Parts: sequence; structure tokens; C-alpha cells
Amino acid sequence: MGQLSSAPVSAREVARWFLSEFDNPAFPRASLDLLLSDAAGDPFTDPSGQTHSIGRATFSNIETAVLDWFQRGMASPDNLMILFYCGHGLGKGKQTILLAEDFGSLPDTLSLKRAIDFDQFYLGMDQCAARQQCFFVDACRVGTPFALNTLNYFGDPLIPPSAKVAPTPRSAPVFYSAVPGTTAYGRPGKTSFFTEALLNAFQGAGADDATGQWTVPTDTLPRGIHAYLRRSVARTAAQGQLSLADGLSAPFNLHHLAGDPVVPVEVTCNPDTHNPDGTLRVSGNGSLLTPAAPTQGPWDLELPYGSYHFELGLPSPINPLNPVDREVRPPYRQVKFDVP
Amino acid sequence: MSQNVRLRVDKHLEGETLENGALVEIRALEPSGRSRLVEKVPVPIGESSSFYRSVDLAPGRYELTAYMPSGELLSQTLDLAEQPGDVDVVLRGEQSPHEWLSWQHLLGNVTGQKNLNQSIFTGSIVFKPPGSHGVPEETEGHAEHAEHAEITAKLWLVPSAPIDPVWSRLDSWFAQLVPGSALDPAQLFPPDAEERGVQIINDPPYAAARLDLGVHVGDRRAYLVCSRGSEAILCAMPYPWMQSDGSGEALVEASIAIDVEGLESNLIENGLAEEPGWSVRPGVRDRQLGSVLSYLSSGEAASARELIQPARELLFEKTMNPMAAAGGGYVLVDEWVRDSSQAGSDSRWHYWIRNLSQWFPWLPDGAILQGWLALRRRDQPPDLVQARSALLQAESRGIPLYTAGVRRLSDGLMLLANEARGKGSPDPEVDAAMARVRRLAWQVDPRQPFTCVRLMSS
Repeated sequence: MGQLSSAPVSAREVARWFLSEFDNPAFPRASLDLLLSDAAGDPFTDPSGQTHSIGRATFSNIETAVLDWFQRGMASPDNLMILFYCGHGLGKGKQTILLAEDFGSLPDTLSLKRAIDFDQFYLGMDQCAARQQCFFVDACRVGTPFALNTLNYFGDPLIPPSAKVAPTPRSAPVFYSAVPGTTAYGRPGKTSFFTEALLNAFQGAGADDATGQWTVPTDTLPRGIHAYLRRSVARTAAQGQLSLADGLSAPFNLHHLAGDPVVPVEVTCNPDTHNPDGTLRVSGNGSLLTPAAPTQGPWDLELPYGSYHFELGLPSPINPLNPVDREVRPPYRQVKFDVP
Repeated sequence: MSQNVRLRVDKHLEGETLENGALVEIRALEPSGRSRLVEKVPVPIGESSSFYRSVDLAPGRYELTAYMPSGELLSQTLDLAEQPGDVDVVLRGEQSPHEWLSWQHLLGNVTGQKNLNQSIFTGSIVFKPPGSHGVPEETEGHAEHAEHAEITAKLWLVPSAPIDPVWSRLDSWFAQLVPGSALDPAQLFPPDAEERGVQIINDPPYAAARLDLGVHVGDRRAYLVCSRGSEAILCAMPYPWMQSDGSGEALVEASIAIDVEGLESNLIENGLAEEPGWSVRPGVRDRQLGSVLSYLSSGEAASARELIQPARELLFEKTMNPMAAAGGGYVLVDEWVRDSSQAGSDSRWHYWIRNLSQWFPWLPDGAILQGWLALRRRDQPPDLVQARSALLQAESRGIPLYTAGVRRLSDGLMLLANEARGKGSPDPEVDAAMARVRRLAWQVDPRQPFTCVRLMSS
């Protein structure tokens, strides 16, 4: 199990997004802690250009940071707690274990003392006064023979769970990058597929306007993540990766968009073997687009929310295809031209 | 003046119809270019035009969007003018790879024709179902890296009240589990268990095991064992399943799939081993609940809750099908917990869940729901005594029918164990039960609505 170069890139990008893009009048940003395990060094340049030296993501540092974070959340039930983890994970069945940088520094199964039992940690977080919590787990969820030897110990819970309940139930969704038993994929030196999908979904695919304003509620965010993840892993070795959300019982707005959402749109002939020969024109929202034909797969577009007119031309002898008018709104739209 | 619009989703379902099959969002498209949510309605899915959902809409432009249980999104624009008669709107679902897989495709258990064509199928399947009613078939996929795989399927009916012998035998094996070990599934079943054949449909890369209708099962639990080489998967089957609308028995089946998408390449940064690349997914063709259970297991909890509302009274008041009622309980349990924090909320669930737990001792899920709600309800402090009693009883009853039950049972016992430890008086009985359930949780396939346990180690 080697050093991941994608994880620190992903964590830095998420941190930058929260420092520059995140907007939520109900939960204005109060604090952001970042820990990294980066072989290339630990500096972090924030959106204002200031460079910070960041602590290592060792178990001890994670524990300290999480306990401090927990205490800050105790200040008010109206707090929102967000945790993003990107790195190595183990999992099997419903158990998920997150590994700190110094996992492996102790012999054999003792190494699990440098890992986090995410299932217990999640239950334990119910003791935090903050009633809105949100967890992003961008990690593999596959088991190993090593992990199998630890059937009664799955790591440290950091916050041991308790049967005490707060008068108000919490809203605490978990967004996993992979379904249990599967691998989450990174790309050397780049953001992981899941992180990229998450940040894109924040731009619009995960949004809804049920309240009259475009926001990213926790229950529509997974649809946006899924739409982008499916697109970004298509035709790569990671195409089996599917995100999964859990604990979506009482949604809340995670983010407010500054303008209209940007929506992924897939345009294709049916059958899609005609796509490389097609000429696509997309008009709407006062603009005209003529994207180049894809060599493989569909046209993957990103369009601002609105009504659009799609026209597709194919070389003769195929008869002209009927144009398609389509409302483009989150999470995604597919426009299909049936070729006789 | 409004117009009656008759909505349905057209999809081949072998002649059947899912009455509340999908949730359709109706949005009015305003001249300004904005849209406004009009309503969300459950609509039927099937081929018959006799089943539809009527909605009154004012003349105007609308967009209709259906989130299918499989995750597929269907959308259509409707220009509605005043006109005599009703307006029929039909959303058309993606084609299933095979007609016989149409239900499984709808429920998200198999990939669609388009995606299947794009995928690289790397395995072959040979089915030799012992005791099969049909003639065993041998077929091979067009493999690029063919892996010979023989899959067998058997159904076992096990006397299981008040204690499920399969669970105690399975846990004995878990307790001694070491890497590389595998279990002969036959060792799980006591001498008085009845072994039955199943009907196999084989069409690589998919297959299905269908269970006979009209079998007297009584208070016995049904388990399906599918084996592939030295690997096996044990499925807690919802069998027999009576339609939750009381209209007769529903077909129970399990789709078996080689994971065509589980590919590796040197793009991947780490070298962790994948899970075995095949899975078994039990399902029921319930006209009311088929979609609901699929939405639940795919994480679309809000859709599941909205679709279950029309069947709510039928499920819990009549209790014609305790397994369906338990599934409904898992869909609604978070809503009940949330409601309990508000005065004057509907508290009928107390009786529903108590009855489910008391009347059906062979079903662990009623006791799991009772224990979980005793721990989490907000209108009173946690009832630790009742929760302990219910969850220990549930654990002794055996393997939860629902995967959601494994999670609630594990979480509930974990909370009780930590509470006791925090008070300085550990509870050995709870600790032992928690250890057993966490070992089970380690082996279940959480993607499936019904509990499927892998009977091999990594």
C-alpha cells in the first residue's frame, strides 16, 4: 500500500473550494482545519495566495484535530460540521476503516491503532451538539487478508458512541466515493474522480431550486456527484466506481449558488456509432454552440440552466433528424437522436 | 380550465405493472425561462395503457422528469393546450438487455443494453443447477480473458423459530475465519432443513434463480445458496412473498451477475484486491413495494418514503405480509425518529412495530426496529432496558432479512455496549452479540436490499 499522490491534491482542492466558493448564509464558514500526507511537501496556498505549512495526517494529529473540531461543534445545535477524508481505506460489508499516515508503523494488526473505525466514529458524532453534519469519504472500501484478521477491532472510533440522544435528531449524510467492496480511484498527481465529481456537482449538477433559489441540498447532491462520476470514469479503468450516499433522512442546504447552475448534458445518436459523423448545433440562453464531434461516446456538454434547441446533422443518405427542445436543469440531461 | 393528463412510464415488465413504480416531477416552464415545481406524483410502470396516473394541469408548457429505481433519468417536455379529451403522456424507459431481465433492469440490478454493449465482458458462466426444474444449460460468453465459472443455486427452508440454526452455525464459522478459508454451505443447514430446487434462467453475463410459487413454507426461513467454485453467497430470501396489496403471491427471484465493470488497470494508484467479481441480488415482484425497496437500497431514501405513503396503511394495519411491513419500517424509521421529537406526531408506529416483533418470532427485523426505535425516539429518554431486550432477542432470532437490519442491529448493539462500558459496567452479553453481528456485517454485501452473506474470506 503506497503513498497516494492524488489524495493531498484532492484535499487541497476541497479546502480551496471551501475557502473561496462555499456560501451558506445559514452556516457561514467559521473554521477550516487541514492535514496532509504529501511526499512532495506540506505547503498549502490558500485562494488569497498566502502559503501555510500544514500538519501531517498522522493518527495523533487527526485525533487532536477531530477532538478540537468536535468541541467547536458543541457550541451550538445550529452549527454545521463537515469532514472530508481522501486516502486509503479498508472496508468490507458495512464496515469502513480510514487509515492515517502512520498506519503500518506498528507490527501486524496493532497498526489498526493508527486507523479510524468510521462506523463507530459516525455514531459517536451524534453526541456533538451540532445537528447538521456532513461526511465525505473518498477512499477504497475493499477488504484485505490483513483486515480479516481483525474481526473484533476495526480501528479507533475517536468519538466513542453513546446511547444518549439529543432532543433533536441530527441530519448527517455520508457521501462515499465507492460502494462497499469496491475501489475508489485516484489519478497520480491529480484530484481523485470522486473529488472532481463533488466539486463539479457543487457548481450545479447537485443543485435544486425548490425554495426559489438555487442551492445544493444534501439529498440532491448525490445525484450530481453520480452524474459527473459516471461521466469522468467512463471509458477508463475506473468505470465500475459508483458513489453512494447514506443518512439522507432530513436534507439541508449545504451550499448556495451565486447564479444559475451549470448542468452536464449528454447528447448522442441512437445508436451512438453515428456520433463521430454528426454535426451538432445547440442554441439557447442567447448562445449558439457547435461542439466538435466526439471520436467515441457521446457529446459531453456543460450548459447553464435553461431551455435549449438541439439539432443534429448526419451525412446523407440519412434523412434529417427531428430537432429536440429540452429544458436543461440539474442533475443532468440526456438528449438522444434516434437514427432510423 | 385544466386538462386531465394521464401519465405512465412505458417499460416491458413481462406483462406486469408496478403501480407506484416511479416518482415523476412535474415542472411548469415559465415564459421567463424559469421553471416551477408543480408536484411530484407516483406513476405506474409497465406496458399496459390501462394503468396511469391522472393529473390535472392548466394549459402551458411542462417538463416531466422520472427518476427510475435504477437511477436512470427520463424527461420529456409537454406543450399542453386546451383540447377535448384526456392527454396521454408516456415516458419511455431504457431497454433491458433481455426481456426476462426487465424487472431486474428496472430495479437497477443489471445494466442496460447500451451500457452492456459498451462493457467488456471478461467472464463466462456455466450453470449446473442441481435439482433445477429446467434442463441445465451450458453457455459461454465471448470472453477476452475467459474465466471458467460454474455457478449452482439451491434453496433451503429451515425451521427457525425461536432460534435460527443457520445463524449459530454461520457464526461458529465466522469465529474461526482465517484468510483463504471457505465454508461448505451444506454445513450451515440442520438435518430437518428442506432442500428445494430452483428454476434457473441462464443468459450470460446474467442469470436468475426463480423460486416456485405456491410452496407451503410456514414459519420456516428461506435461504438461497449460490456457489461459484470455492466461493458461495448465502441470501436471506423474502419467501414466500404475498403482494402487499393482497392480490396474491409475488414472484421471488435472485439475479446473478458477473460484475462486468470491475476492471483494473495501471491507471489505478493502489494495488488493493477487488472483491470477488460476482454478486447475487434477491428481489420481489411486488406491485406496490418493488420500486420502494430498490430506492431504499440505492440511497434514494426520499423517493422511497414518498412512494410508500399510498401503501402505508395496507402494510402496517393489515399486516398481511410481515416481511413487507418490516421493509416499510426500514423506509420510515428515520421519519418516525424525527417525528417523535415533535408533539402531536403520529405514534401508531409503536403498535405496528411491537406487533411485528411479537407476532412473527421467526423474523428478526421486527425486533430490530423495536430496539432501534427504543434507543433513538426523541419523545422520551432512550429506553435502554427495552432496547437491550429487543436487540438481543433480534440477534438470537437469526440473520436479518434486510441488509438495513444488519446495520441497525450492529449500530444499536454498539451503542448499548459503549453505554455500559462508559458507566464502568460492561455488558458481556451485549458485547458478545455485538461481536457476532459485526462479524456478520463484515461479510454482507451492503448493496443488496436483502441480506446476502459472502461465505468465503478474501
